[in-house]
Amino acid sequence: MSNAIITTAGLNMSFGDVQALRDVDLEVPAGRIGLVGANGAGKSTLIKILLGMLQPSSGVSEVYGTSAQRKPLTVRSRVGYMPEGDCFPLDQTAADFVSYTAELGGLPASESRQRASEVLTLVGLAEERFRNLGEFSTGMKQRAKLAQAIVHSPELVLLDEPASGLDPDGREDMLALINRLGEFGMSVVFSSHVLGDIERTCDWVVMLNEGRLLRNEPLASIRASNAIRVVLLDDPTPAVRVLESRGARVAVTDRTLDVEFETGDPFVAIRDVLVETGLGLRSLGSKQTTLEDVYLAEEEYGL
Amino acid sequence: MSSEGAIFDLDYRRYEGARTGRTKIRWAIVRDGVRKVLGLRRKARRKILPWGLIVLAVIPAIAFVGFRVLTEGLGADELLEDLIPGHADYFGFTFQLTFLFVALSAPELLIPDRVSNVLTVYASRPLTLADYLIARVGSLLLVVMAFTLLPQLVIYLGGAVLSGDIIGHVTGNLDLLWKIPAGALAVFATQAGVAFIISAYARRRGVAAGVYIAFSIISGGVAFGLSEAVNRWFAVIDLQAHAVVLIGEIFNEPGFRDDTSMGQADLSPWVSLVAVVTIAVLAAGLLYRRYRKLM
Repeated sequence: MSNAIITTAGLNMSFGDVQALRDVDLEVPAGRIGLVGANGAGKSTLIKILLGMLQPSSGVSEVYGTSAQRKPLTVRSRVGYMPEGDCFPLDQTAADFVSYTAELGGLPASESRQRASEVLTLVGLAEERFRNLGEFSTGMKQRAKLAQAIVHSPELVLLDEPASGLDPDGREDMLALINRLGEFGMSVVFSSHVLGDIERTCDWVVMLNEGRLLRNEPLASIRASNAIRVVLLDDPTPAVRVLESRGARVAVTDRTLDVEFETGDPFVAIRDVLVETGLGLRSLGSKQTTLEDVYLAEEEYGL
Repeated sequence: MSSEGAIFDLDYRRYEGARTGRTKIRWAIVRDGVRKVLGLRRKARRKILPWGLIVLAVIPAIAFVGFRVLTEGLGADELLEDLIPGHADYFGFTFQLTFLFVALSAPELLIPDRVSNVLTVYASRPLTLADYLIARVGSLLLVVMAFTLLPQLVIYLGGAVLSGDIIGHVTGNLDLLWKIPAGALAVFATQAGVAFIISAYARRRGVAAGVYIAFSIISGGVAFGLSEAVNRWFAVIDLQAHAVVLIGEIFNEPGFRDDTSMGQADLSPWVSLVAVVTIAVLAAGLLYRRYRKLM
């Protein structure tokens, strides 16, 4: 991939006996990238390796063509990071802290204060920016963490579980903010174990399980499915028998059939079967594959 | 005046200007450290201890100098001639205050960053672990130097004013321009290393300050006892004594050493210098090792 912003090859990372990453080969383009996996899948480890905060046991990783292991400072000057846990001095105001982190990111002191104010307004903390961070709620802390991650104008932002601990409204707001980052010309790596959040915000998915790479492809291609979902009013057994006799693969759940044909128009074939068996139809349409379907299938069969 | 209003959505503005280098970033950390130690841009209660100690260190110097200036020419000049303490004597007076100041400041610089996980933010920025640690030590150096130098400056300027010949006073005491900072550096070097090491492991600032104070007092007592009863080289573990010995040497006041365990053990001032340098190097190594696991 010529336009890859993140590349890894043969990446392995172990902590004692625990193998956090196993032979991860990645090429990820610019955009909004979802890093999906259960807790302990290796998402945070991968992010820390990309920042040069951790040295992999073996393998290489590059961000914008720069080795994160050999030139971590160059990488970090182009990347912002929102850690999963708290990362605040509790006795400092949000404005002071975000301004300070802007300076740590290489912005002049005079510019930092102005930008901190702008970014805190952007994340919805304009009113609260002169309050101490120790007085912030979980949602406000998440916003402030996002502010410190983007205040120095990084080209890529690594967000580690940015929506964790948020109530539904807070989650919505955070996902909306993440969507906006793309509009500002930033690429985003958004790590989450909530697959729905990834589906709503990302256009590329990197799926990890127990340190192994399961998928690395556009969300659209993951969601694409040839299956047709048919929901019947009656016992589906006769229809299943006929469909299978005509070469279809059928998965049955109660009165719901997921039907896949290798060739031909599946809608026409299903119409013919329904006419032939005389069964009543409740609904018919393309099956929407969710990330959850893919993840569960990969977990069950992929390893 | 136009009656039409307009709403501007400023949105996100990319920073396209030049980026600063690591030197500026280090200075930002130093500045942050100074603010932390002095409680600046923090709530009022965070200012009480550091500023209280600063006031305690400076007020006597101002009082001595002020009293001498006010009584100048009232006929008691000869009697009050020695009222203003010498620079070395004043180091002796502020020494315990500096000790308390370091005990409070070193934990403030290291513990909140570690306990509140702010180190993660530092680790994600274009700076190294050494940058962070050097800047934090630099913050304490700057503040301790200011803490010890401020009253010395008051005495120096007071002496200049009272001499009636400011230029003559300055040119006649040029050696003080290096001796005073050197004395302050000796105090810092003796005290900061151990204070930082304790702070690198403690989780609470109060505990770290308490452990440091207890360690210093106990090590002094143990040094006295063991150097007399077992072997005179045990005097080396009396950290505070080294600062007193070095200040005495810097200001040509060998008598300072006599009251310390180092003097009782009849050990050379060079031993104090080597001990202070060794402690500083060991502390730097231990600090780096500890933080390599954290950042």
